[in-house]
Amino acid sequence: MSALARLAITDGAGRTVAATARLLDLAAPLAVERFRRALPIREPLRHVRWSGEAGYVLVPELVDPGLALENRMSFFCRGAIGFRPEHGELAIAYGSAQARDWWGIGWATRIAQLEGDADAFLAAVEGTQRGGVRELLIEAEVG
Amino acid sequence: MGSRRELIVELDDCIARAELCSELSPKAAEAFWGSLPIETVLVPAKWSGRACFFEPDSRALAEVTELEYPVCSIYPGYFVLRPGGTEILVAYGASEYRWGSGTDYVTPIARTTENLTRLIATLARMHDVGELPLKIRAAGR
Repeated sequence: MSALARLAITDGAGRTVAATARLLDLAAPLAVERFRRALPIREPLRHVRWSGEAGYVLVPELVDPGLALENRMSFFCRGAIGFRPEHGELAIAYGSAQARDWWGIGWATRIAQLEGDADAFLAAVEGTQRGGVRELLIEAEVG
Repeated sequence: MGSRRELIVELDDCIARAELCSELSPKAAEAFWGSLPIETVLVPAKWSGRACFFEPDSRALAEVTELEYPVCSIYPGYFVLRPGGTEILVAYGASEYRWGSGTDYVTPIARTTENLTRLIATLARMHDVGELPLKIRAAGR
């Protein structure tokens, strides 16, 4: 059974919403291993500017332009978590999204997928567009 | 007509001056002028890069369906209109008008002429703070 991660978003008023993601370690073993070693991750979550309906964090420990893509995707489905090693970027899609930059279309490694009822969590991700930056905490799920 | 028509743009605590791009998009610029004053909320864009947008509730702008000066790239400080008046964007850095389905065209309607640096800084700050109140009115009115 794949490992789980707990993600929690806290807004400026101190309200926290959480979700659980299943790590896709069979499909993306190198990226997931790198991700797990970086936990816990606590970074500001912002709305993407080029990629559509998603929020992102930049994780300095995950920057590795030489890390090959695994489980490659360009389009994100809702609840997908994509990792772009060249930026150390983790992006969480709340709707239609694609790995893009100013120069065009890119790729990401799909490392995890939210499970269960993640509606409130994804609404908080969407809220970064109008509400601005929020804190994202990602930890290994215990138990 | 013939004299330069100027706008006052108030974004949060930043006040800038702009002029219509009547030489590029005469019909759209005229409709924009006729839609003033505008009081709305400016929102960070999702697909178009370093730009923000608002949805003008203007019949005059809705009637402008022609792309008079089609552009994809949006230069910092330029205001551009999507045909049909569904949205107006203003850029603060690298920006190209895009949707999920790809790149699309807009037409310029105004350019910032004074306090551009401060306006760009305020727009860039929206990546962290989110939406901000926006007022646009004709200078001198």
